Amino acid sequence: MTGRIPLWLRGIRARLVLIIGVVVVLAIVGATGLDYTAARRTVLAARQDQEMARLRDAVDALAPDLPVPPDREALNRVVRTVAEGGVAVYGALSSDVGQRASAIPPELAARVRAGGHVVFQRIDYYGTPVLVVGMPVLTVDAGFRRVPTGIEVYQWYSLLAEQEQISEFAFNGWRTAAVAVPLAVILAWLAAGAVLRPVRRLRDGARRLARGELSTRLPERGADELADLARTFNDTAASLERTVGELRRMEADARRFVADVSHELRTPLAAMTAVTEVLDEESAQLSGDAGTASRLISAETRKLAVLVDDLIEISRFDNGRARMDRRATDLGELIAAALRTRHWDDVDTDLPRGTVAEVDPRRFDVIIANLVGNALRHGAPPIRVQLTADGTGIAVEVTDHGPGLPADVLPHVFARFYKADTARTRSEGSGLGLAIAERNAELHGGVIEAGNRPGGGARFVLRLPRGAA
Amino acid sequence: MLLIEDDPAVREGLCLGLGRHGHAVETAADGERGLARLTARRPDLVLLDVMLPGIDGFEVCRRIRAAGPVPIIMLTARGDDIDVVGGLEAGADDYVVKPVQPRVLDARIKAVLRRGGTAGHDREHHGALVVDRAACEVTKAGDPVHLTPTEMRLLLELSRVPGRVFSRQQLLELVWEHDYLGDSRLVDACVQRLRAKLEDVPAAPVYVQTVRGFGYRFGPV
Amino acid sequence: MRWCALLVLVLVLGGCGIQPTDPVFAGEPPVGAAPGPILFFVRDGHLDPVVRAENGRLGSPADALTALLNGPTPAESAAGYYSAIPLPAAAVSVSPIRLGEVTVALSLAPAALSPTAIDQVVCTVVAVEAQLGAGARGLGVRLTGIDASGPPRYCPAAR
Repeated sequence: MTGRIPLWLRGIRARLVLIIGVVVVLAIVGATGLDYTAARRTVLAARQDQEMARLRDAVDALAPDLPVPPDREALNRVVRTVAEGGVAVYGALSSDVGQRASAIPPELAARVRAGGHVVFQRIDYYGTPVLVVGMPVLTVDAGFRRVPTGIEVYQWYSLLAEQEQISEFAFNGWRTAAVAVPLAVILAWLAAGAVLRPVRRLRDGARRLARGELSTRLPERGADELADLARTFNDTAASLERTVGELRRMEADARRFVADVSHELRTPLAAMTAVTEVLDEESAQLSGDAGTASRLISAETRKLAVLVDDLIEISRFDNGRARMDRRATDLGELIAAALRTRHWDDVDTDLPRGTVAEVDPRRFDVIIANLVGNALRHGAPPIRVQLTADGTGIAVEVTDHGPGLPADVLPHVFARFYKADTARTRSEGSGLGLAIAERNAELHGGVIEAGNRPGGGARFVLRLPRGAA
Repeated sequence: MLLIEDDPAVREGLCLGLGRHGHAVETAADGERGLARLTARRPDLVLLDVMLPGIDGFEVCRRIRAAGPVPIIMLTARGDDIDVVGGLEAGADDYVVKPVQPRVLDARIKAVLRRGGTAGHDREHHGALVVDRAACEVTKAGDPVHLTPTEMRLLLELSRVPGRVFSRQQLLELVWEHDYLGDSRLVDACVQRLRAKLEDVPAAPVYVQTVRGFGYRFGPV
Repeated sequence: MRWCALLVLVLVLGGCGIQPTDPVFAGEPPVGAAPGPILFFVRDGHLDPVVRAENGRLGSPADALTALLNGPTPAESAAGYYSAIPLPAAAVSVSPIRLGEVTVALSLAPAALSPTAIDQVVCTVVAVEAQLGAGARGLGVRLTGIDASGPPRYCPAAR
């Protein structure tokens, strides 16, 4: 059911307006109703009492001169004098000027005859309300008892004027409603705004907070629940900002530490690297342990240097200080040069000429070296590098025919220090190779996809856009 | 050559390594001592560490450059902006990131030293410039222009085919002998220094012109 | 929410217009017609009222008093009614009811009247006033004549 109600009817404003509208309508209806009922009572009562009293006094005044028992002429005289248009009745005898005795409502006549009181009845005469009044004329007998003479006088009064007067009350009520209800609706609409505005501010504030603008604060105006809510929101946002700020600071500190450590390592490494060549040359002449030792030192120094370089590279990505030196380069030649420099001759290539894109050659070289190096290390020949290009970008696919990537490894393959083969914990890589390659690809606005070939073996695809993103 | 490096282990290591490649290396532990050594005996090349105590590495570079056209190779611990740009602006011919293997450094050193002389005949006249290839001298309106070997090499390469556009890549390979992975900022910095020395109005270059999107060319004057 | 509005609607519409009614009692009827005034004569030694229907109508208290003072008709005499009031007597005036009292002025001294005669006068006046619509019980009659008026007297039959 809720789904079918349109949005603007579902809001707080609509509800408020509706409630206030209903309240106003009810109030007006109620007031008008009460007014109307009271008016009806008063107006009617006034007229009715007035007419009955007048008739009664008139008959009373006339009574002493009334012959008892009356003849028709006497009855006519009564009608003519005090009850113009009415009827006077004495048993079966009735006046013949004015109304006919048959027009008297039977219940009224019965009551008048039986009761010895003035009796009135309202009837509906073809849509018009009519008051019928009947009264017996009494006498006092010798025992000082009041008894009916048998003479009865009846008169009809049209209440049309009263009806119209009463209707006017009702009409006034509707007229008031016609003015008041729209007014109330408008006021309710505006009043709803007073509630809606802070609510909207809260909603916008929450959205901004969700987007990450942790410095969002709401104005705390007033002292009502909405101000309270705003205060709570602000406290929460401040706390969040503080916490996130802390976390960021700690993360930044950690990263800075890694960067600093790496840099500090470079100085001793520089000295060590400077002499690894010497060690290499001399180790041939050293015998036994010294020779092994020097070769070991040399090899490990090289690995350490690579690791520190990788760490620094990753730090630069993390700190957002990675620089791009893009220029239009022939990718085919770049890949070929990368393989040639490293003396990787066993790799099959499919590198069409003239595939030019705006890349940072050093970084591109790093990616290719990593992907092909991984294929050579962990995969098995034949290893193939294929360069393709279409309108939007270029793709470099590196495949091998080795065991491929196990399903549990695949999601983590770009994670830092994640080594695919846990048994072989110390391979040549630093464990950061793919992470760095991925970041380099990101820097170009591209991606690296990791997967397996349908026929077995790993498959990595580097996709880059042709121009600067 | 002269090595100005504050860390004793690195000094010793590089000395040893470079010595193996046939270089005679003198060392200095800081800028002051290095400058003193410089005035005492002119080295063929200076290896300058950026991080020095006392006088800042860049300042030392500027002073060395001011003293003469000795080739300078900066040794930086970081390959990012601050060090490289600062070094190039201070007048370094090339830079190398520590840690560096001595044979790589050796290759660089040799490349820089090679910028001394190139084949060529006669003296060429380009506007107010007179370029003597054999003597490796340039005069402008009769006054000699003091260029570093790298600057000289760049000018010679550009003016070899006046009007031809060389890309930064090509210049890196021709002048610095870096491979395809070279840093194009080296070219830009050198061009800027060259213009400062050659042009009447460096902002509106006549001799070394930029061809936007392609590279640089010499002239047309 | 819906039945609330419906209820209101019913109330509002139901009360519209002037509604017809059953017959309703609405007060005291007129009193005052009679075949004739009630005159208190004496019979068998005590007061006995008679309705003088010859007129056919009630008439005024003064007329009734005059009729009383003139004594019973032959028909009434034949029935045994006589008056204790000496002749000739005439009612000069009968005042309207004021503060529950009627003042009657006679042409003779009330002191000269026998108690029965006084009762006759008083009761007749009270009876006729009752016929005209006044309450008989508490109605007092002051008789004034040649001499001063006495206290208000009440009709014994009216109690």
